Amino acid sequence: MARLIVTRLLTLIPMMFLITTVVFFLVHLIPGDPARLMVGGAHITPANLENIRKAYRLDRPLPEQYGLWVSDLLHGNLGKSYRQRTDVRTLILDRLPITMKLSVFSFIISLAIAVPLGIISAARRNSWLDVGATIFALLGASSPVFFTAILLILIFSFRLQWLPSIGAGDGGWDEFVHLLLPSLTLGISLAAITTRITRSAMVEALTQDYIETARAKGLASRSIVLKHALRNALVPIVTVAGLQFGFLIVGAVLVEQTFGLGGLGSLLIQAVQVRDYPVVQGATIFIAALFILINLGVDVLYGVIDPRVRYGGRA
Amino acid sequence: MTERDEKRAVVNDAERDPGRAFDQRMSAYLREMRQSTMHRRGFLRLSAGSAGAAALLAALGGSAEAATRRFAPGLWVLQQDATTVTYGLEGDVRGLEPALSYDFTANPVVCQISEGLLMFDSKGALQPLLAEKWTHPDPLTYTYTLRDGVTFSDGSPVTIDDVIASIARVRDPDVAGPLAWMYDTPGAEVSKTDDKTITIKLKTASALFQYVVATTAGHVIPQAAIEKYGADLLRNPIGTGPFKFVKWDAGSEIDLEKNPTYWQQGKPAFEKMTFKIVTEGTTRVTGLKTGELEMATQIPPDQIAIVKAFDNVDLQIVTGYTINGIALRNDKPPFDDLKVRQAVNYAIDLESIMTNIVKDEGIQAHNTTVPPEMPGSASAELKPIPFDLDKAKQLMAESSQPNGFKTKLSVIAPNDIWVPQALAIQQALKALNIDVEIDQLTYADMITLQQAGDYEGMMLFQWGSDFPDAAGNLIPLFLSKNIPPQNNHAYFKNDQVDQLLDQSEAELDVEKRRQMLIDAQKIISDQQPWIFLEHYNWFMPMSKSLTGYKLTALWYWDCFGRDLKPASA
Repeated sequence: MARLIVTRLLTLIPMMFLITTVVFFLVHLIPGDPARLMVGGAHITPANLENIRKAYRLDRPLPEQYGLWVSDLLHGNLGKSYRQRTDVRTLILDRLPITMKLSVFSFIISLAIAVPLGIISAARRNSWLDVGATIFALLGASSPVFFTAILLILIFSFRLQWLPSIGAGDGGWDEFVHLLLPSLTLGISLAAITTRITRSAMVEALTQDYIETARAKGLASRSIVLKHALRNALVPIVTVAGLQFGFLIVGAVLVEQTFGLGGLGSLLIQAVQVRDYPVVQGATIFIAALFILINLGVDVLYGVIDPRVRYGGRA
Repeated sequence: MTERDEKRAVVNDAERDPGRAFDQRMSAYLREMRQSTMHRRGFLRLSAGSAGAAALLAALGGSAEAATRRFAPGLWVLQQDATTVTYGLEGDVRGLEPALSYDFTANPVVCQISEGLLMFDSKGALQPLLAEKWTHPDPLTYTYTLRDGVTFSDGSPVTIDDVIASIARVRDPDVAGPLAWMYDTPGAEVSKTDDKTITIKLKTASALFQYVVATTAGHVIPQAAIEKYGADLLRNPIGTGPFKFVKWDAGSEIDLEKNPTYWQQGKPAFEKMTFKIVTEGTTRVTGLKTGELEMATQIPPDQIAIVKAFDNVDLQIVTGYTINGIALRNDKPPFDDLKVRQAVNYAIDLESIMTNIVKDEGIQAHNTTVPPEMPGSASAELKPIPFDLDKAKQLMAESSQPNGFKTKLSVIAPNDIWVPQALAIQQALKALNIDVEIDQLTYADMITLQQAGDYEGMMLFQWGSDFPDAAGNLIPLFLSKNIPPQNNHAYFKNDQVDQLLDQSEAELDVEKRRQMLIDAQKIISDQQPWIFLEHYNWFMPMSKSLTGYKLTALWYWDCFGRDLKPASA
């Protein structure tokens, strides 16, 4: 187990290097003069423009800018935002909590929808409930997150006026209420796939011989499904759910934008729009690192649930 | 007691003893639940269950009325505190210090916190604010005398040194702020005349300079704060305004509270202002409907009609000091020929473009860049070019390009108005055998192209003046020395216009100056350097629970928080 973690951590190094390089040059390929955008375009004196270029190293050749940026990065310095003139690290850390809350909350909602729905579908195959769950999964998976978001806003805020659609509230209960709609949006999208996986895994588990044996022993149906089948179906569910947690961070970008949540996602989108290179680079790398680490965590968890993974590595 | 007072009393009550208010709500809720079980067995069935859950939501949501009307729970979750004004911004601010405030998100916030030496009234005329009087004795000199007894929100008095330090901050090369040009272009030199007065001497005459100190470039902040915070000033704004800064949750919310030492007696009427950052237009519109937002800017064009129909919102509309038009390259063939420019203008049915594409978004330009309500406009004397295809064809036949030509039209995309306009114009010019290729650019690419100035043929763009003066829509766009990288994108050059605009800068007589600007517009309209399209409207939806503020063309310099009042008071 320790070896698995160490190997995976070591592969992080070349991977992060690759990501930084790609991100840097990709970002600088986008046309647009950041110095000019920084001051708004219309009016500026040449001296003023020159000051900005100097202050943000925009007057140097690209390879030199890259070298300086990487060396800063190794010192834990993500640079300064062109637009907000604040350390990128501060900007990211300021906004991280809300993105994490949104992700965790959505994740819980998605599991709360998907696992029971998947189990019921599998246990009552081809019933109207199963068909309903299939339709839900199909709709949830095909509707883009921002569309689901607008739909939920129109229903729950605009029409019914039940739930707020703006911001993250003032902590505690208020925050919970404010996060309901955004989390539901993400949760539904995620639940779609997890429902299907749960269903397939459960169907497979329920057709195994040991289930027949359990039935033959006269165990209650509920106990068979929840105790015997579910435990064995859990491995694929955890794998997929874990992978999805990584994608959640990406989905959060769009949801935050729609619900006016000041998380990492809205930071990134706004930065792209104004060519705020340091923020785009910093946030992308941060998200990439987070994604890799979460996947590592899932791999470890996978080993915990299924002992075969733990020992299989040595065979 | 009005409804608002009632709510305030409830708020106060809850503030004194939140636990008690909660207990009251809970017991009322439980009483309701008991009653409902009596005549409806199994109330936890799906339908009643959700109503119960909703009631619980409402009961916990923070209103004393919640438990009594449990079937529309959201009303309490969504309802705003009656002592707070909530404003929806379309993006996060870049910072909250005046030197960096030159956009539609930072300005509405900053203008509540700090104030300028002067201000604009609703018609755009200058009025005293922190300066009680000002003079403009010769074209190069401006003096401002500070009002007595004004303090910053921390209680320290405003001194003339604060004024000088604030202006220096706007121009500081290290700050590299977007407003520095206002002082740097005319070469302003600021000096202290006495303890109450500053004198600003310009190197080149600039009539527009009179407006600078009424913008955020003239906001006064404490010298001590500049020294204390340095680069962090943008997160620690302070000023003399009716509200003072409380906190900025990056990307989501900015909170202000009443400045208790505000120098204008009895203002502001509200205790707090909250700016919510809501990037998605549909969400802002929803917020207006539910009451989560009471004011908002940048409503998506396709949702204006929806907002107009809301019964809880008034949609204020004012024509901006803006021009949307197509600059033609007057310095190069084919548009260096006046006949070609005229032909193109006659071939376009502007009226149909207005009715079918622009609609409520703007008003038709009268062959000038200066809208009718902007001081110094020639709109009353000029007329839009009528659609006359025969005349267009005849002019084309007489021109240097009788057989037509190929050209390009650069436009920012995506845009619900500009792109359809470009397509309509492309279509219209086919009649003259002009083949227009539409070049769709992102905003950033357009800025880069404008800066480089090497566009081909035609460029559709928008301009707006920061000042209530025709010169603001003429000098940057038509003075020959302002060709790219400045903003004379048409490369327009006319000696008479140059002379009139230059003279107007030094003219102290208001009426004479106005006449010069009108004359310049007439010459420009004869030369047809552009296709003048429309002047854009500004929209400000405001909840009917608010009153006291009327949207102005220069709303982004307005301190609306000073005059806003609850409608019921």
